[in-house]
Amino acid sequence: MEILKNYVDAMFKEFPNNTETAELKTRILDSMEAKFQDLLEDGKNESEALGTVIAQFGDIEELKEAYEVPVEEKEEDFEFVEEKSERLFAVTMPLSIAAFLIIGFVWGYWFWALIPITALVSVSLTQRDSIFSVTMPLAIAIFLALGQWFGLWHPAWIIIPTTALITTAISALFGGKV
Amino acid sequence: VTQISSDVIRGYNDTIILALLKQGDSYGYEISKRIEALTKGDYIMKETTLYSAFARLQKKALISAYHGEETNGRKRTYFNITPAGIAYYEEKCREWKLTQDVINKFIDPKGAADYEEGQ
Repeated sequence: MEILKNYVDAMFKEFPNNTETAELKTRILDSMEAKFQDLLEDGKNESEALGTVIAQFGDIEELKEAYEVPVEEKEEDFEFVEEKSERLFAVTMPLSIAAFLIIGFVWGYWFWALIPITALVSVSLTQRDSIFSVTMPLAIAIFLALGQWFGLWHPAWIIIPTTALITTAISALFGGKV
Repeated sequence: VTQISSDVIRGYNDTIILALLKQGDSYGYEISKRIEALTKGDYIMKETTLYSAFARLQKKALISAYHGEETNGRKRTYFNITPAGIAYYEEKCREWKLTQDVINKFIDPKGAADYEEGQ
């Protein structure tokens, strides 16, 4: 019975991959399959029998406790930030490349720094609770001010990667989250 | 329909399994079937409850496991109650009788009368 096997596999995915687990899974699957067969013989249809067997499986936490399976640390915060930045990047990066090409072809100015700047801005936006959220907007503001008012787009752009590097170094030194 | 709460019966799952193993060696599904049959379906022990009880009992050396004869081409794990298991079972029986007497004092007037007579 493939469904029951898959169900048991899914339930045991946090158990260590060893012979003890394999043996336990075999025993439980054996029990469940025997129960399934008995229910069919009692005149239940397949889905009723399957429903009963799965309902009578119980709570996997009980077995984790008995077998002392270590509780996995949930890294939800990290995954959340990862996911958020991936989504943001999917939007900002193509836009930035398009803008870079348009500016290049239309005005003949190849503002290549736009792409790393976009990447860094995107990173800083998803790192709200870190030092990046302070230093990066500041660096971008200085860059824009120098460029706009003094025409120093180059070499002012250097401030952005430099700030990113310094911020990373500071975070690493003080053990903060980068 | 009133159902057995797993919280209430938790402390006695081991006792139930030991009681059945005292009658002879057995394996997971057979024990679960016998519990259901004896209680006429009032108590169905969940798979995870049954197998975590086996693990606990084995760790405490109250039961031992061995590979039994093959059924339908499958090796079955049989369990056997140890002398320590029998002693533990008997202790739990005494504990249950006391628990029952105490609880009955608050539940069933006749039980309360029996309790007072016994004192």
